Amino acid sequence: MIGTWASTVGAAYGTAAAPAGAGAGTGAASGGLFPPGWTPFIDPLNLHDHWWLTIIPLIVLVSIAYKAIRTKDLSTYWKQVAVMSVQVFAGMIALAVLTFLIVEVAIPVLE
Amino acid sequence: MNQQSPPQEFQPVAGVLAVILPGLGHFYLGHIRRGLGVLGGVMGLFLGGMFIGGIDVIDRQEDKWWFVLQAGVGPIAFAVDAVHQKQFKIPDVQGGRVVRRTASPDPSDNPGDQPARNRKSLGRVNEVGSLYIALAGMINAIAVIDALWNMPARRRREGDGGAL
Repeated sequence: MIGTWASTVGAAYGTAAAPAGAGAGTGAASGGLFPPGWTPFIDPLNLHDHWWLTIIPLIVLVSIAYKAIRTKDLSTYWKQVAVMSVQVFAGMIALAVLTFLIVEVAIPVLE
Repeated sequence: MNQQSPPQEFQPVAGVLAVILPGLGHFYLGHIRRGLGVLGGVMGLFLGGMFIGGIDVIDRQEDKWWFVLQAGVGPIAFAVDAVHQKQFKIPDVQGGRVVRRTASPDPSDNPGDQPARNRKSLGRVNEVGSLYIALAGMINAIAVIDALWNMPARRRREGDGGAL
């Protein structure tokens, strides 16, 4: 079954739906978020200009799994997930600001 | 605060079930909500990584060290890797030996002019997809340990209502 399905996907790539060189996972000009002939879970998204946005679902999903294991009181589970998500996101922003200041301000001053 | 934690209970069956499917160990222990949280979080990361980076982000041959972490998700990671290696890559001769590689989008670049079955995941998209699934594996490893030593039961006895 998988072989048949893979053959179907392969056949699709041989058609004009996915012309050769129409991105191959890197082409920013190959048609928005979903490249031509894109198959979910098989082909990569065209997220090369906005890859940093993927940090938001990443943080939320990590918080969901982590808090399911670690939280003591499940009655406040979703609140704790939200708090952890905000904390991690704020920490990431703080690290980005700190790195920016070191690279753009501190190092030029020292030079 | 002075309350002593009861001794942890070793639960090998729960540990094995947790390895087989994320959250299954907690289901076995009766912690349905915790199991659902683990299942949703870990599988969300796993499927999210594949959605972003495609099947190419799970590759035991080309991304061995990523796969070491990704393997923590369990048999699902090995199954997806097997499908990737067998159904999507093509055999090619490189340096005198046969290796399996992702087919080029241009069939004339492939042995026997085989068409590409998937697109190669590259750059940030590949890194982010790999990271999603690696984090899924690491968190599931924590969940396996949690189920193996029945830590939710300890929390439940302390009055948290850990099980439904």
